[in-house]
Amino acid sequence: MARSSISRRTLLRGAGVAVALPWLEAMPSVAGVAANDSGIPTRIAFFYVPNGVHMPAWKPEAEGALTELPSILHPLESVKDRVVVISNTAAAHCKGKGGSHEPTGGGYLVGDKCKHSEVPEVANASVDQVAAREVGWKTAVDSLALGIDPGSRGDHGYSGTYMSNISWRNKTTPAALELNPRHLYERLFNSQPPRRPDWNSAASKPQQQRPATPASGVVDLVREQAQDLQRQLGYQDRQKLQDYLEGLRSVERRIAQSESEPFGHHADGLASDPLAGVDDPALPKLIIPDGRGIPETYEDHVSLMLDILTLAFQTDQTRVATFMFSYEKSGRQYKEVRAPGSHHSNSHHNNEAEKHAALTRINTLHMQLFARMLRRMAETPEAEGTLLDHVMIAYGSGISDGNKHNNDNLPLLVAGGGNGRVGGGRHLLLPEKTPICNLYLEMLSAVGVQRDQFGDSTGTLGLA
Amino acid sequence: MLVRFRLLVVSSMFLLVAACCTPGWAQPGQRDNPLSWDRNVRGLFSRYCWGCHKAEDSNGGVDLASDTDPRRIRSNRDTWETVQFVLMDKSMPPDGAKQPSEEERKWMLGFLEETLGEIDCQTLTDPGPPPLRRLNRVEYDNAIFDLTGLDLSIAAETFPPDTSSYGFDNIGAALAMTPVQVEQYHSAAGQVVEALLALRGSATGPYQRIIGDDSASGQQQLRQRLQRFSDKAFRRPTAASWVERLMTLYQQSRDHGEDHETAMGHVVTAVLMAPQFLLRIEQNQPDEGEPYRVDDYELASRLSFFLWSRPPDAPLLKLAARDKLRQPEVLRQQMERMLRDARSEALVKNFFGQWLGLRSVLTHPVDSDQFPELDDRLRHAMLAEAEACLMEMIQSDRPVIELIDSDYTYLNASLAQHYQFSSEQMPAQGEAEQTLQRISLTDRRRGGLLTTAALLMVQSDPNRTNIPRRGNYIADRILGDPPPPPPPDAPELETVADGRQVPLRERFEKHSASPNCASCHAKIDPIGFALENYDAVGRWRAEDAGQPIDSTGTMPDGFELSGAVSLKDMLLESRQAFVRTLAKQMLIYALGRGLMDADRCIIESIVSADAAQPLRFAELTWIVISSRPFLNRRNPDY
Repeated sequence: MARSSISRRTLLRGAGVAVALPWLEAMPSVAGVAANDSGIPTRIAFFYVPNGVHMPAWKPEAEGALTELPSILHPLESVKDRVVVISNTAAAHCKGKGGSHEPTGGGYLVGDKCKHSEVPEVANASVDQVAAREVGWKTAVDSLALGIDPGSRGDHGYSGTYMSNISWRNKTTPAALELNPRHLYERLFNSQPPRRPDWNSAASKPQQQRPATPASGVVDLVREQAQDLQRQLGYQDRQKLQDYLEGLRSVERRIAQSESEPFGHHADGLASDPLAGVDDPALPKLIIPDGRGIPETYEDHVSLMLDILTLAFQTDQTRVATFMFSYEKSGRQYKEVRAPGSHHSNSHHNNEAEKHAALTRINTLHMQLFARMLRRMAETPEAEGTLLDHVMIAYGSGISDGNKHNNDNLPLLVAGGGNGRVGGGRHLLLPEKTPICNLYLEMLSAVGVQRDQFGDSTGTLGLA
Repeated sequence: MLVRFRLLVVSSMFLLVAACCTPGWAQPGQRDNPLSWDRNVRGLFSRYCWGCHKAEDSNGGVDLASDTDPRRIRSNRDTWETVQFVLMDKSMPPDGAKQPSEEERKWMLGFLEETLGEIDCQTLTDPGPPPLRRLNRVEYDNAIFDLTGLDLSIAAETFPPDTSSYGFDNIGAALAMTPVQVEQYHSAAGQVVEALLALRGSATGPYQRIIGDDSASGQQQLRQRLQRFSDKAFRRPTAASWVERLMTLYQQSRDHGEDHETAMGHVVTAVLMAPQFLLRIEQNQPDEGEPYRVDDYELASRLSFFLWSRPPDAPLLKLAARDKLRQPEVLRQQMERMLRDARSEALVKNFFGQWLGLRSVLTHPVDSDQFPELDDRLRHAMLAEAEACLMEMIQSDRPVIELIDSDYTYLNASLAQHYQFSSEQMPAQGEAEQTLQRISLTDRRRGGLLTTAALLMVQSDPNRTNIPRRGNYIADRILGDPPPPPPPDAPELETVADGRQVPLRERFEKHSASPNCASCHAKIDPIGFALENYDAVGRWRAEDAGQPIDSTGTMPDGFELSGAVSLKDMLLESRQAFVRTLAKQMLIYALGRGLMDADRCIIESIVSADAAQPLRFAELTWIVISSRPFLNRRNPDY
């Protein structure tokens, strides 16, 4: 993607007369502490590819140092010392009754089985949201759930939600999937220019109670209405109102945070010039197309979303994210890499060489886009190192062979240094069917969430 | 085709008798009853079914061993009705497996009939738990349009996609609220205010109606304006206390030195962020233990969101204000008015669009090398054809069976050319070339929705047809009897070694010959074969890979298929199954929830109505609207 200058005035167009609301609720006083709270926090992300991967072109031959990379992993060459390829994990929780793709997507990050139902219900919040609960309050947005394609309708008695979402805020609520780069950008940066945080300043102090303004009265008023209403609702609907109230807090909080920068750990306060800082050479340049704000090609769309994610990590707008290259069982056609036919049909390769090759090209395209983001992170200085040193990003699928729908021998790798937690440049060959939840447990620990278990985990992997 | 479910309306007297005595399977006198679960039938299921269908990882995910008594079988009705169905059509046990004798099969079926067949429509009166429905994206945009007159399409452009359950995006329990959404509502309210203020200076219209001039804003006028705006936004009269709160908010803003427009901006934002706007709230009656009628405003909303995907209009609200809407004749009149109105297009876009899969016509991936002629114009024409047929059904009250087979369609010149119609069948040339025209058909290879290019295309792969997918589509969406998903470890197709071109049919036949696949493919492949004359973009073709198309096949029940016309004949013969499926889908869509036992009574009354007289669209809709769960609610479970 080109990196020429941008029409920032269009890009940074504010949200009209959206009212600014002060911070009203006290910050949560307890929270998990990131590994290095006064220093640079670890950011985690989970990347998902649907329909499995052509494993013969993914799995390195030997255990140990990553030397010759198999063809799908080839794009990682320049950052391979920051990558651990992990073989022999299994996601037993992705196996479901009466369907294969459906419970795979929905259960992937949850670590337990999905209910076989048209009204979605998973076992608990997914790993990213468990992390977001604990560390999300420190940033403007507690987490991001990003994607490219709107979801698909369900099948075999499973809600479409299961294939369209991997991130779950709670048992019944998937994190809303953001697909549009323009709106994502506007939500993250509002009318503020992106700014680099100053990691050396003290961590955020509790926000101060601010005097009520007419604008805050708006939120007060609708909150009262919701609280009145909540009293007359049944259990399930009370949850819905709870989510609504949480959303109101999030509206207040994000705006309050941008107003109260002087108290935060961001380098400069509310700049007098709203465009100040935008030309910071360390920040990626984004070109967001006019119109609907979605680039025409798949490649550009993914790249832009990942650029925004990189920027969000870099500016500490959030520390937790998920990204779906497409929904599970995706029927997207990748003509750009000569893979005619739908992705799902290609994944049912029936051992035909032609389909193996097409599937490999699709898998490689995804990897190229991922590698591009990693390279960008590696070029982004942060403290003594780079942004890539301080992230921990899992990349994989809940299905191994798309023709068999098996949930073991999964394609999985971890990229980023994880603040010293991950020693890259190797192929980790685990005992067969090691729970993928072991990695999740380790990633939770990376952001300071200490747990004995997540899903069917049996321990951590020892990535250092 | 066989009917999957038979309803026995049991008299309440009989039910009393049944209730006072323990059912047959435990009675001493039933020792020799071959339909007894404990004494006979359970053993039969164990012998013939459990081999594959026991425990969680069983074939097709169907576990028949865990339902250990008839009560559990009843509560797991869907599974056991499928069992009933496959036992009847003898697709199970599969060929090669141990087969029950005819007599044993009858016992198993007799037991299931007895266990599943009894539903007493007199006593099953539960309208279901009342779900709190959030406005989905379509409804939100329509509500903003109706409220302000501004066509902003904010939700369609910026809100995250709504979750889909039962194939629809208007299911209460699945429409979650997340902080991202609430932030979007907040930002959307800002955009609405911005758009309203941009109209300042106009003497009439939304600015005057909603914002108004400062000078013309005496207390009383302002109060009235806020009351009107809130009433319309909340779809019912608003409490005076709410309006007073808005007045206070307005005054606080002015006291802060903000101008009239800014103050009104806060007020409009508050209304658009209020739960009463974003959610469809219905009032509880805390003292009422039994189900009760919804009030007329709630009924107006139910009706309007069902038929129009939008808030009720002024005539509906006027009737609600006088408590008239609940009168059956008034309700029916209103329904008929609404169906004739152009806004009933919402049913086409949202009900049919999701049920039949039309929503993906414009985005379905198609290989442009193989089908270069498929441009956006043609795609739009394909969609417009299907939508025009559906619109005629709704507005002109056509028989619902015309979805399967009809003697008309709507074409423009591009689509007629795509269909290779001869010049006398072509729509008029010239200026009207791209306008759709109603065309009478004599050739049954077109007509009805299933043979439109739109539906044939979306059930294909980008570069070829997909036989089991097309078959599965009709078995599932039209006949309501989908086969279970393929087993996790589907055996591989034989590779064609000599590199010759092989028609798709031949390759699928090899695949389906494997015993693991055969039982399900036997139900769907013949349907797909019958449609092989239509290519991946719905054009008629006589050959595939250089060989003539063989569109013949035999269904498990013996029905001989040969091409699309015979498929239509088969579906016409299966009209009960089709009407039942349509009824189920519409009821789910109308109620915004999954179906319960009691709802089967409504579905069967729709099927009976069709048996008495070919069912027309308005009658179908009326049975849904006049049904108990549509008109009633109960208090939620706390």
